[in-house]
Amino acid sequence: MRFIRLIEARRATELHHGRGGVRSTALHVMGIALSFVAVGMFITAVLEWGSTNRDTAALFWSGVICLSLGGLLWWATQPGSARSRDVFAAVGWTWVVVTLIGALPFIFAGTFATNGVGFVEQVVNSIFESASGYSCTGSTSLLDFGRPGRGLLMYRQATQWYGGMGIVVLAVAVLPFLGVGGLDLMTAEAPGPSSDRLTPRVSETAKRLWATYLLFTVAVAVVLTVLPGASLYDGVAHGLTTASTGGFSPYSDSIGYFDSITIEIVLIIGMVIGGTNFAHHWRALQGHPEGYVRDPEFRGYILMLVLVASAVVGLIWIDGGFGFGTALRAGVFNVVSLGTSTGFGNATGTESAGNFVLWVPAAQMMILFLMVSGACTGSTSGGIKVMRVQVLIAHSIRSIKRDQHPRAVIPVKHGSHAVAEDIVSRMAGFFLLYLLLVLTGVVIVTALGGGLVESIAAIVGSLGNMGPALGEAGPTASFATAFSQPARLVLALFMLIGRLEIFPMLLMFAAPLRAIRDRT
Amino acid sequence: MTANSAVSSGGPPGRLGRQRRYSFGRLTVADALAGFSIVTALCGFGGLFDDVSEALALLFTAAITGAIGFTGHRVLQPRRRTPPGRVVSGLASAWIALVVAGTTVYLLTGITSQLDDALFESAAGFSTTALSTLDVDEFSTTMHIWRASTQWLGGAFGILAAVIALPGAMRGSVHVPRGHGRRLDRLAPTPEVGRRRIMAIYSGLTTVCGLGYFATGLGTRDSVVHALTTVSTGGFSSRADSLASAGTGSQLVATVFMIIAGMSYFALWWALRRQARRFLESSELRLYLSILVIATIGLLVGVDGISVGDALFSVASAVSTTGYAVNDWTVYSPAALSILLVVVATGSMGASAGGGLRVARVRSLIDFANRELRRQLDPNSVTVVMADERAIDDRELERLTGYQIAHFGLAAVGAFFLAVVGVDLITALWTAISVLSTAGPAPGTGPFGDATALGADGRLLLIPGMLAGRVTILPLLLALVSVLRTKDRATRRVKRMLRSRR
Amino acid sequence: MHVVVVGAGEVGSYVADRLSREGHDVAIIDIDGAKLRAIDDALDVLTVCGSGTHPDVLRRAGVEHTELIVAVTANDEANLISSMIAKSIGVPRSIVRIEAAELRGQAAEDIRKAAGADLIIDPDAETAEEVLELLDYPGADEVAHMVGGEVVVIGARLPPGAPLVGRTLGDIGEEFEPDWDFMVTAIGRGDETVIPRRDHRLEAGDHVRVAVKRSARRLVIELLGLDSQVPNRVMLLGGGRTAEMLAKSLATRGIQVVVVERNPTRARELAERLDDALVLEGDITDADLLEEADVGRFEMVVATTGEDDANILACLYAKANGAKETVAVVHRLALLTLLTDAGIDVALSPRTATANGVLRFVRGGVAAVATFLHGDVEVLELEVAPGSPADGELVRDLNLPKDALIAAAVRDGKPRIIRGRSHLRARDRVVVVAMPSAVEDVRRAIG
Repeated sequence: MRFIRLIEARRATELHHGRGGVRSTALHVMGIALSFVAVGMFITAVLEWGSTNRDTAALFWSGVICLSLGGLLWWATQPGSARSRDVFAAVGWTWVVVTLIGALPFIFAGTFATNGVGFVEQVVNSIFESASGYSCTGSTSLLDFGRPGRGLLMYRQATQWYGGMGIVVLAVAVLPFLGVGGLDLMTAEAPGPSSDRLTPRVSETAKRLWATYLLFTVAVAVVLTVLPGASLYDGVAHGLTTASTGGFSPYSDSIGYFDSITIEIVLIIGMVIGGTNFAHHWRALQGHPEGYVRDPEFRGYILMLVLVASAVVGLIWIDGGFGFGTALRAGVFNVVSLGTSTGFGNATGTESAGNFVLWVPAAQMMILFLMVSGACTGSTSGGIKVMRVQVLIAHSIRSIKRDQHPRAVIPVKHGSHAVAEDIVSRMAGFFLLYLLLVLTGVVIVTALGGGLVESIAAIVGSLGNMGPALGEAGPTASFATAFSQPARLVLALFMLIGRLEIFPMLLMFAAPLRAIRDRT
Repeated sequence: MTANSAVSSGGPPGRLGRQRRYSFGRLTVADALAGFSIVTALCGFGGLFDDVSEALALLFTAAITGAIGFTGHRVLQPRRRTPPGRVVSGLASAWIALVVAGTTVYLLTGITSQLDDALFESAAGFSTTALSTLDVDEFSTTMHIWRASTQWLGGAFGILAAVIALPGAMRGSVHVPRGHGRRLDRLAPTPEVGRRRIMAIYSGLTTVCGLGYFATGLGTRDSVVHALTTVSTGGFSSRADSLASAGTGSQLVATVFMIIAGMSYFALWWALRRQARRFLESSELRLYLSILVIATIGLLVGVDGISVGDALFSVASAVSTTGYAVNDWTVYSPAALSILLVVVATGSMGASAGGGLRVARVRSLIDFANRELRRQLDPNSVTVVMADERAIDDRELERLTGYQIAHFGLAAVGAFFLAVVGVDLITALWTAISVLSTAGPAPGTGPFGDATALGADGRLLLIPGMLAGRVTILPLLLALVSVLRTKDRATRRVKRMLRSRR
Repeated sequence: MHVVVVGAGEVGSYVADRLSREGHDVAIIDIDGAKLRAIDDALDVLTVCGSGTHPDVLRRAGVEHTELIVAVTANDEANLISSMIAKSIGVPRSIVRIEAAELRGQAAEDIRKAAGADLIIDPDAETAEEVLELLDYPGADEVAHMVGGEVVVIGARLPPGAPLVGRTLGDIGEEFEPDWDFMVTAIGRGDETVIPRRDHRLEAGDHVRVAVKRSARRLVIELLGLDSQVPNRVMLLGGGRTAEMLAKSLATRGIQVVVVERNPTRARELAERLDDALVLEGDITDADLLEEADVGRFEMVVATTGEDDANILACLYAKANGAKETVAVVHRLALLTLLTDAGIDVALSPRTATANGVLRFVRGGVAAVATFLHGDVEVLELEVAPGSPADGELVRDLNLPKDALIAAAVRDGKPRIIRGRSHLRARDRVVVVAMPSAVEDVRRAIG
């Protein structure tokens, strides 16, 4: 397999002979990813120009910088090896660079330049916003939603859309010669422990996933637009962040701005779909919808949402002093929003039922658990994924049984099929790393001045790409007030780590380090 | 068809062997009750000079438990190889027997008339958890010492379970070094010898600790009580403010002995055998001490105006899962609190009287996570996780990870239920982790572990958690798994009924 | 009739022996010369050395004038090819042993048809089936269902306290007059098995075979002093195909199953396939393992590995530890009598199960045949042909040979136990217990 890969990589190089001399998968992928981002900037610049026309220049020049940098990288390099470490480096560095460059429009436009905010803090806020966008997290440090123009706000929505299905997957879709290393690239970026090929060709698979994603986004946008209370702008804006389970909204009250039950129902359905494996959506579109029911992960996911939603509704109804209707609406919407790692809020004010910070401790605890678990493999959601939770539960039950019967052979089963031991072991390693990261993160963020509840929830939420946290950083509050600047940078880093599921971000230094070591 | 074999000429083979094989569980219960009876009787005789009615209650309970325990001990013999599941359930039943006996004492002496309070106090005692609902100022000296003795017994139970019972049943527990070297070098060449040596070290430490307290002016009663609860990492105190009002000298003695109590008895044995090199080379010990140092530095940085002594005391109390306090640590900065939480979750070394995840396991888990990282990088790489120059095989690692994931899962479930009964978020999380580590106090319970803050339901919920903290999480998880299995069993029963109908 | 048996393994040689003793001409083919020499010494059959998939070898065995080919090597494909060749040469009927589930399934029907297989047999499946039947009669060591299960023949050793011990068959008969629900049809004592008469006295330790109407089986279990508790926990030692099939059916009955298998790969495979069973990895003769698994807690322990000694040892160990009933699969039958004396409750052999299938097929009109490990006695199911000597005749006037007995008859779906004064009519399905030598006489009288 490895040999074939090497040969393929070489052939790919030969194919693109004449262009650029530097051979680096990382830089090449980065180049094309930046070019895509530039397209988004230009489109939103046009929108800005046609509407509020406040931040047009910022978006335009960011686009120019982004495109030139991306084009240069793309033109000057060619894909190199597809070894694991290079793949991790490619994906990890691409995301870091895209996040940094993606912060430019906010910096140029002075989005965070409210009274008394220094330039450094503006940059920090911009990077935080960009990281929160591309990683589909949805936390914000924006306090004044009236300041940025409609185009810039739409750019903010678009960052999440890019992040949802993944810019590297997009790169794989358009670069057929990445085929061989492509699956690794996709796996490194895609949420969940594995990604399966829908077609024999990886780039074809990537195309289909993006096509499904696009179709789904359009569908949500159209439905929202035709509903009363939302304009075309609102429809597109929320379509972008629903399909990507991101959770940004151009309004400070998030979905609470509409205060419309129909819109909330549409979004609930949209979020549940966004939290499902897109491979199932593709197959369903091909006329094979039975994949959903057969998938134990999907069943577990739906069961989890139903159970948690009913428990939460019950808890806040009994304790919260809200009527059943209010409790039902707030409970179901927020549980789905958090269970799919979207992070929309439907609170209409700090005192309303949708502000889950005010819920009873048990309901908040469930929210914390949801932040950890996340939705399905191969969806646009975050967290450790239902499948991993299921496998790890089976794994620990197996360990317990083994203690009773030391020589028992007990395979870990997911649904009806047995999971290979090395995959179980990788998942256990993933979970332990996740836990270690949470602990380290909490210690760091509290050391940088965060409160205990806020820090725990924010770190778990950032790693799980959730959005709002608990305590002072709840759905109606801003991270800008709850956390210090360095703490926000740490959170931004954790969002990227969470979005790429730990390994690429921790291992992206390996390839450059080895390259340096090899040279000396 | 058993009768069939009786007909045949040879007679049933193996009859002789059968009659001597008795359950491990019953024997462990008997042993535990015998230990309880000795300690209670001692307290009872002492109490005759203090409060006669309490003394009689103690002696009465001691007589009953003694009768059960010693008869059992005489009659029963262990079987050659006990299935591991039975070892665990045996330990769990022994612990429960202790708790029941302790509850009886609390009720008979009239310290409390509430069954649930007595149960909680007894469970906290035998699990060496420093949570209490009672007002210690109203105790007589006898009861102070008896209550501390429950923790002392609980501590001994923990060490013996970790060193003698569990490794014998479960091959290759991570925190137990492989028996190699000369007979004298091994802590437990046979269970009997091991038990004797451990109890000798344990009692010796208690005596020295008590003398230390006495010498630093803690007073006779408090010296005895605190010696009993320090060496066992228990944390019950005869004073309402724990050691806060004690002299600096006594606090220092407490710090040192808490640190020692959190050490592995293997390490202590090597130290006693004057194998200083081996003692110091134990990687677990090094990590244990590094945690102490790093966390102390963390507290010094994170808390304004804290003295080195207080910081070290707080960390020692957390890492050894004792639960003493010299100041109100619940008002520390969030950073310091998060450090303390991590330390409490990690807990002490394996094979010690303390609880928690155990340093050695945490180390192996980090190594494991690291290995998985490397495997991502080089899918074909072979990396072995080592523990003290011994490779941990895959199967053991797998067990370890599954077990630890279950530990976290249990903490999460516990935290959730505590939240359901109305405990606030941080206290619920903290208490769940802390009780699984047999430490006790959490921000919501105040620095001295006032369990009334958790509510009656919350306290009842904690009792199984204490069992899990002391006997390993297995019994509780087995119970949970069997709950999950009831569905299967029910369907089976229905199938069976349908079949027999046909 | 001329019969060619391909494969001189355990099943093949047993079938050859059985058929030749009934007077058929048998040729047996195998590639292992040593095996054939041993058979040459023991049986009165023609041995041919060579592969059964080669036409010339088959010809040497006289396949041209053969009426039946029995292909029972351990290799499915070889068996199918032998059958195919024989059919093309003109053999009218063939029996093929196939083990692979894939080849037994619906998908492979064409292949089986092409090979001309008239009867497919699978010794492992038959063994599993036998164990399952025993499960319904705990304490019995043989169970044979006749006439669609209306009549059951139960074989068991009489324990000392059983109600039937110390009484003559005549006494027992009188007690249950006028309508008998069961009949003691054969008694084994030591190495000898006889068809009993009225004055036969039952003793503890006798091995009896009782034909019983299905409705009265509880009564008989009681009279034989057997345990009526159906097991809840079963341990299977050895994780071969037999064990896998057993585990599956046991699990669907809601019985808790533990399987012990030595080979790690196979153990993992089993664990993946069997959802409800616990699979332990280890040697079945490892006392530590058995003790750890608490073998004494199990009501039934079944050892199915390919190694007789391991099976026997493990069963003995389980018995000594308190297991209620032990079943050992044995392949070499020389040790058979020792086994029950040593305390193993049931010994099974894959070959008897298979042979029953072959014999039934050979006999043609016979719906069911049961042969047993202990003793030669055979149980047959026959139909009374119109116009045969038995049609409308009293049984006592039939002049049946001494070594044969008509135990029961089913008329219009209603079973009854047959007495000397009973009438037989055409279309009655009768259950006959007979020594092999008497089988032909009985058939002549009835068919």
